[in-house]
Amino acid sequence: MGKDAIYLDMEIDQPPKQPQKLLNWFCKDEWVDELLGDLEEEFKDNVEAKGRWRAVVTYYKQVLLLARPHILKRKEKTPSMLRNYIKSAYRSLLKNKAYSIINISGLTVGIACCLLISLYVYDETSYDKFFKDSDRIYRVALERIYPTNTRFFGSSPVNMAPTILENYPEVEEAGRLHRLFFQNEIVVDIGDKTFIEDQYLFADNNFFKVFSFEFLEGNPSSALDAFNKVVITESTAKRFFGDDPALNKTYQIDTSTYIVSGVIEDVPANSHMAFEILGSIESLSFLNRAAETNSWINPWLFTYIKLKGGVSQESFQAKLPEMVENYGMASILSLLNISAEDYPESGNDFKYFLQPVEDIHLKSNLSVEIRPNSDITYVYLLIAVVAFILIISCINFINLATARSAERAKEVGVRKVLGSRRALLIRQFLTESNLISLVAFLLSLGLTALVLPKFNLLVSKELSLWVLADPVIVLGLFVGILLIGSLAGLYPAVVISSINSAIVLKGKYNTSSKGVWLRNSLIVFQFFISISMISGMLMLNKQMRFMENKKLGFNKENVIAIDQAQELGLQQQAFKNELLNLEGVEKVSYAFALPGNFIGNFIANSEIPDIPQVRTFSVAIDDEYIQTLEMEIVAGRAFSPDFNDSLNVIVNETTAFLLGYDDPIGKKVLNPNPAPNQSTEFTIVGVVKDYHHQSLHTEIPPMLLFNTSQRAILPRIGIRVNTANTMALLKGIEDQWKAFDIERPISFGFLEDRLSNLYASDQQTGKIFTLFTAVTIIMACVGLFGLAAYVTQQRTKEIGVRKVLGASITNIVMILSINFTKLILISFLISLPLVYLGIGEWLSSFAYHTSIDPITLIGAGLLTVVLAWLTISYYSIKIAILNPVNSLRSE
Amino acid sequence: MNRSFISELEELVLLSVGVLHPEAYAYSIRLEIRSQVGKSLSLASVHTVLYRLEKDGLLKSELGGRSEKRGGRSKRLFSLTQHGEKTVEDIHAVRQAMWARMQST
Repeated sequence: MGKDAIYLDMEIDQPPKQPQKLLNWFCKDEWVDELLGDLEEEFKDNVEAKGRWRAVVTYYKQVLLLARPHILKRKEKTPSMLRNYIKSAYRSLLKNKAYSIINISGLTVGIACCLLISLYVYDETSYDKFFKDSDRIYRVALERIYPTNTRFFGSSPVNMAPTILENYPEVEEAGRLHRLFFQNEIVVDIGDKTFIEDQYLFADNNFFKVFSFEFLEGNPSSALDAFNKVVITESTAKRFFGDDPALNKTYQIDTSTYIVSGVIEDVPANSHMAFEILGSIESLSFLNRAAETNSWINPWLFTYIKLKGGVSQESFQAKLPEMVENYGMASILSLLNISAEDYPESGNDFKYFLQPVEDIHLKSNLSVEIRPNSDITYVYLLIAVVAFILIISCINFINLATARSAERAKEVGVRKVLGSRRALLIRQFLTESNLISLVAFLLSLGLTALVLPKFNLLVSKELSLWVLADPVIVLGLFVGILLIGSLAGLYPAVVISSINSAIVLKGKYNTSSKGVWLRNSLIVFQFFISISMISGMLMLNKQMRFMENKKLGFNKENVIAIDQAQELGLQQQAFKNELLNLEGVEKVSYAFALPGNFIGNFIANSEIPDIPQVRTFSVAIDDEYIQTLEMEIVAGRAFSPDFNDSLNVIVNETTAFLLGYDDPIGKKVLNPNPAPNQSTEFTIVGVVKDYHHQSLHTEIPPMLLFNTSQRAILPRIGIRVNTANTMALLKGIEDQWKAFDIERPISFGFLEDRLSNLYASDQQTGKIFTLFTAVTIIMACVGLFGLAAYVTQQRTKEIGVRKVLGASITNIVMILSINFTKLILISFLISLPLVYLGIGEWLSSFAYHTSIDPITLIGAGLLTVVLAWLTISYYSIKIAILNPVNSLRSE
Repeated sequence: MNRSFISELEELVLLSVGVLHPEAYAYSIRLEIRSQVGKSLSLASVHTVLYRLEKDGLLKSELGGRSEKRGGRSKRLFSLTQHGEKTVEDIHAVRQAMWARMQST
């Protein structure tokens, strides 16, 4: 009781507890004491002067008033333990500079590669998504079944879009787009200026109802409603008319005048369509004719439809056969000259299907496209490459960390003795690894920004890092970085923190056997990836070389090709004679198409009954063509000025085979659908060895070569040249062209270069793949380098003893290399089947491909072994030449 | 640290420190100002001024003078630095001179 009384008595004198606690909480520690002292003094005076109650109120008031910025505790940015983790992580990074540099730089390169590839993949998958309602827009594509084969077209007949729009209410809009097949350049005259336009497409007035292009000038609803109206892009308007408004301005093509009825924003690069000018399809007479006669045979333009919301692709696609039956069959039967009863048996069919517009860029590779599309397999390939590179950087991290566990063991032992729990230690190591991955990420942003311009050149895109400046992506990246840091750091953290402190501190801890198994398997995995990628790269290059050197059936070297030769008109022969006078010109040939150019179709029948119709490709050539291109005649003769060959034809071996002719010379090629003034049969006078008119992706098709009369005007010239001074010759040819007073500038180049453009996308993939393969192998070697450093260091004493006992330097280098070599050999063996299957699959996408040869695969293995040896040799040799006195004395 | 301008409150606090030395600490300064000027200042505002003046080099402080009344806690005892003394003298001189001129007109 007495104690309580005293306690109560003291309580009266004491200031209230709550505000004291409050002050303790918010005030800086250094000032709490003196302030509480002052407050208490005042409180006691106040109790005496004014009574306890008033004193308490004043006390509260004074304390609350003290909450001022300079008095408040600084809010700590990080909880104190985390700060401690970061501090020790930072110190440990500084302490082992070599280790940190290897780790951070490896991860930096890895993340930078990922960023680059992610930007690339992001761009590839973003195609055509910028159109409004792009998920409801489809292209109608055609699966054309011929009696002998099947072809897929991205294009469809002229009257498809109006028919759909008229008869199918579930389709909201349907528009058409046309690309000129035989000509890629149009000459535009504005006053005295001439522009050569190679991005000139044609559309109907509904096109802008399907695709939401933004009109800067003009009205989309009537932009293309007359044959002489055109819509141009913003940058074209600038080129043509400067900064003046372009609306209602005019330009000339030949003698026709066209009026600009709209200016739209430039077509984004990530669209499957690319154009600068859109003319009206009504300005193309052959399309008008096809529309009038309601032709459903020729897929001459692209039909785009926008389905109403809620209508599925499948449900509308299911109605397309019925549409062909109802609206197109009459035309098909009459143009194919088949009766309705015979049609099902004839082996002909037109099957239409829908392609979502968003998928065209990555998934469509049909016979007629607006421009070459990409391939989703490349996107998958690159994603796989990214994954590999990331895995390798994580493995480097894990390997280095476990190899270093001996070094960290003492630190861990001491920490444990001082009371650190295991969870805390794991957190500390995770902090360290996350710090590394964060630093690496920041560095990799810089690195990416640095190499992005070069990478853009390589992939011919305009990628920008700004894509990343999106809150969701930033958050995603951050999570990804922490994930990498945690995944890579978790295993070492668990292993190192499990060390028994008593053993470590007694100095008995030995790492040589710890985690060796895991380390070795990770190395095997790394080199398995590296070897696979090197093999892939070597095979890719081999296929590229194969395609470059493949005997195409003609001599592509030293041939100059001139386009748009129809400009010469009736002067073609005169021009040819002038060319032949030039120094270095051997032969000159006019033709409808040179190899690589677009060619037409011709349906051919055999004399022999029951042989199915053959759909051939045909090209009109003059008497010099075969000699100029140095093609090989295997039977009969080439065209010659000595004969009248207008009713004769030269076939290739495939055609002869398909028509069933063993001895084709003198046999007939029958023409079932003769055009006006065209013969119903042609006589075979020669057989040319199969040659590659198209790219090596496709098989050699049956071909017919027709002879043209001397008077025909043809669009291409091939010139066989033989000179050391090409520049002078090209200049000479250009001068001649000008001398003929042709307004249009000459467009010419070497056939070889043009053909290699057919493989541009393969070459690009090859380059990207080579680049990232190099990165992968370098990273694997960097990891190996770091590992070699630690392993050799651990064996210093052993090597010293060996040297004392008489081992030579060569011996020791061998001993140190043999372990790694074994691992790499195992990787090599594992990689063989995978490489064999994977590369075989890829090669089979080429109609003509090289074979997988063991030498290339062994070469890849050897290359890896040599690289690995070079990598570890630095440390092996360094330690092998060390004086054993130094390594043994230090105990 | 040359303070070209001193507020009225700062001047009062400086003078109080000079007057109360060596027993100048926040509470005693507050009492001094209350008795001389009749103005009641909160501990917070006096502390703020003291902190600022010390930061600017006009005052210096040390801990000491624990007492039972304070619950055994130390006081922060302030004193003028050389610079502080000079500032007070300067202010005084300026006012004197101005007074003299006002008187003579």
